[in-house]
Amino acid sequence: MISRLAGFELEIIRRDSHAWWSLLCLAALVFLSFASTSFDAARDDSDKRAVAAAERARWLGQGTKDPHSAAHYSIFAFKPSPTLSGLDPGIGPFVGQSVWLEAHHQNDLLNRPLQNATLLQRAGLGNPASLLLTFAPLVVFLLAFVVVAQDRERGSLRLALGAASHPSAIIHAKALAIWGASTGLLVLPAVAAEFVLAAVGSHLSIDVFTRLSLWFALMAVYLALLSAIGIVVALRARDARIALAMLFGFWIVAALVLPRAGSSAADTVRPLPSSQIVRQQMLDEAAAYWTAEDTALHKVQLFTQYGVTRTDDIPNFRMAELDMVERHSHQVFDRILGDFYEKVASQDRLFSALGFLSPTIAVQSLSASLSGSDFSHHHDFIVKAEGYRRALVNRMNADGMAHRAEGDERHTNDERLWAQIPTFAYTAPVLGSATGTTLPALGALLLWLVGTWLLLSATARRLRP
Amino acid sequence: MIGPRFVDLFVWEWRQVGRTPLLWVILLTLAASFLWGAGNTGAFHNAQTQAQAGTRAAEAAHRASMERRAISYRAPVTPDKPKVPYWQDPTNVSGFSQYFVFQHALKPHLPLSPLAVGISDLAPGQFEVKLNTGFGFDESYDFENPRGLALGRFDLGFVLVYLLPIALILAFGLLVTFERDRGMLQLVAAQSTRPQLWLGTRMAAILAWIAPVVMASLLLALGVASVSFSDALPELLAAFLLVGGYILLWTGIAALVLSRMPGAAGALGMLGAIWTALAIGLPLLGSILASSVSTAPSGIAFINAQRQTNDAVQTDRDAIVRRAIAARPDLRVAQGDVDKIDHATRLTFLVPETEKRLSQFRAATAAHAEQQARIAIVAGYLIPPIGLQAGLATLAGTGEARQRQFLIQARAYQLRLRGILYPPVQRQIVDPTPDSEPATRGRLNLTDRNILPVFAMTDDSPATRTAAVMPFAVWLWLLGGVLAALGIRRAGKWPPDL
Repeated sequence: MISRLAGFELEIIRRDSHAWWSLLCLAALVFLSFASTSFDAARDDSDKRAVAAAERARWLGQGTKDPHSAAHYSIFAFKPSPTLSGLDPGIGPFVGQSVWLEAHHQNDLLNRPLQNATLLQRAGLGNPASLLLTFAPLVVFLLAFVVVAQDRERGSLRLALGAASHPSAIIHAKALAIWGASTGLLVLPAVAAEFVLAAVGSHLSIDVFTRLSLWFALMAVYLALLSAIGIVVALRARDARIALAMLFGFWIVAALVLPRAGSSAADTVRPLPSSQIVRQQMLDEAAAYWTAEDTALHKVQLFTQYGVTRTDDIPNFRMAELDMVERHSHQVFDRILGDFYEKVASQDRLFSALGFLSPTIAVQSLSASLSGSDFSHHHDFIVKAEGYRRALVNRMNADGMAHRAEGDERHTNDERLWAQIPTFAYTAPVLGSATGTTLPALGALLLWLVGTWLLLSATARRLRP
Repeated sequence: MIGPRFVDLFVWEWRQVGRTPLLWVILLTLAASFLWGAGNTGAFHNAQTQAQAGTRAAEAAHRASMERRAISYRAPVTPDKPKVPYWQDPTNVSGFSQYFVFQHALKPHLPLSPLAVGISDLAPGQFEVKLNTGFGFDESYDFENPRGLALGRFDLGFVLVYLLPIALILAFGLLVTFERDRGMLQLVAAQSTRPQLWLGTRMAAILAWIAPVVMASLLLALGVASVSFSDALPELLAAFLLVGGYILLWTGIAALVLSRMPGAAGALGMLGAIWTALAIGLPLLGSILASSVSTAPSGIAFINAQRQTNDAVQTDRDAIVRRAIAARPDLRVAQGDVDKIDHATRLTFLVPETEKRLSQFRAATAAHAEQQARIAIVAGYLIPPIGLQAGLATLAGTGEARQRQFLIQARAYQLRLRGILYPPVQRQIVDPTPDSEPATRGRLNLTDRNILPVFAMTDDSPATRTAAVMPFAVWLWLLGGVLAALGIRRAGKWPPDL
């Protein structure tokens, strides 16, 4: 019975030109943004693959040289777009896409796609997730207003409830109709297109399929709880005007103000040290060009380490010093940058906990995490790229240390050594391994869902003709 | 029948509107948002200013450390304290040029910066300017949580551009439709009051409350964010003009929609749709169109070009240096000594050559940026929220044009540093400073290391910044005025279905 009633309510929605066209316009925007975002990601990935292959060829073909020079030459690594970036590019446009993995430095990722963006480009940065999160509440509330508040205002709801043997079924049917229309038009086309793109591009692993399914479920849950909120407010408000004002107010606060205000608050409450301080700390503790006084200290440390008293007793003093300095820098980078990135994660955890204030925040955090486009996933790339850099530099230094060279002599090697370094190939973390910061958001969303469902059920039970 | 005069009706409406709790809820929420937005941006910019002060302190510490070492390297060489390699020797001019120059270009915030965060959260406000980095400086940025960048900051600009229209939509949409929804508009229509007069006075009364409160709240918020009004008076007045025009624009839009006397649902639905179209729909389409007009040169492809060029330059390095020396009458005698030239000195010839070979890529990037900036200006007129955002950022000193000036000046600063250091570095090829006797630890061919000027950004005058936003302010006032007039004119008759 509920399905037949829901079909009837869908027809009412379709006949209301304002509501129906609002829904269609948003659906068109969501799909357009999906197409645009996916196209950009595919083009960028193609560029990255081509240049990564050229980098590998350059690395192998760099000729005969001192292995430490090779470690300085090194390679650039490129971060591939997450498979679901067409649905939610998350922080992608604001984080670096390439990193130079050179000796002595844990370089920042550079080439942020929007580094030099105009305000138009930034304001026009729509993507399916942001459009759904920000504007789906407005459209869903408009649908709720059409099928409930206006029905109530006209008195036809009273008649329907009086004639029904189960009045609550009417309310559940209205909720189902709003949810079905919004999910079917706003979410399903983009998810289906993403599925096809992933299948055609041979990216459709179990992990990707699970992420895609969960992303669809997440957005469906979001729209369901918005539908429930819309109906509860439309039913409980004194009249249609007040219902409209309350729903409009909820949209402004929950979807427009709180995500930005919450994000700014999280960053203010748990501030990050400035990049200047972080860079200076690394420069002070692990300078790439150390002083003559440092060299004297290194000498003492190496003599102790090797149990010798003369530099000539160390097979390749220069490379041993470089290796010692490099390994020291790893500890420094891990401590300083590890602490810094933990602070970033802490900000994200706090933001995700603000999902208890607004379901939009909770879904925003979870959407980026499921799409693999939040900072936790980005950090995974940073860690793996840095691991590759260290392995490369250590291998180069080890080769130098294994070959005797005195004074200004330089040991050299060639492609036989360079080929021992595997190609850099990044594998994104599987679902569940980089989601720590979003757990509060998951709890918040469940609470919102249960709370609104209980409220809807209670409202439906209390209904009297 | 003689109807009431505008003034009488306006005074009556003004009193009635002022007693509406809804209006005060909207205005107080807006004022609180102004305070939070301005405070938030003010604190953010203060943190950036402190980081810049930290940079200057680090430069000073670096200079002090360098001087201490320079003094100690005057000592004669001993078995325990040998000659210092050139890359560790600040008294060696070529070593100094490559390994000891630690200068920064800083973009200070302007007095009215809490008005809008603009691109100050995304674009770097400081660069380390090394002598031999291509084109001025390495790409770098001050890390901000990218989640915050993606969501956007809750700044005063956001409140003015996006929330102020919503407040106006709510106020007009709910306060003008009250009689219609309550069925009382029939009573009004039965009187001698014409619909144009009734709509005009009601909207004017609402505006007469909102506009002064918004301006006063704006002033208060900027004051709380420690803006020195005397230092930013022209920009402040221009900001008021922009905000006033924006209020008038949305009043005009509301007048057009309300001229048909819809109910609250119809009015809010239509105004909400217009807001959505202007705030997100058109910028999204505009951004896609702008990208399709001219695709940004790929940063990834530039890395490839840079690597290829560096490789090519390294392969030909001796020939390049030889050619460069041969082309210089003052250095020509050293053509045969290219092998003896150290790495830092070679760079003074190789880096300009690398820049020359990569210049077409840089030119393409610059041309694209210029084109996008021009498109953004036009888009600002077509999509007023974008125009207002850009106008506020210009006045705050956080806009794109000032950032471009900063980049150009930082590059000019690097060229200036090269102009100071390259000649003495290259002179050592043909006229090396004699080695000290007895041999000292340092090379001692650079005695004064305090020869590099400090970067100081040259800014446009406040009058220039103000003049830059005036055409858009006039456009907003014109557009708003025309729309309001059209709206009032459209309300010529009471709707037949009252």
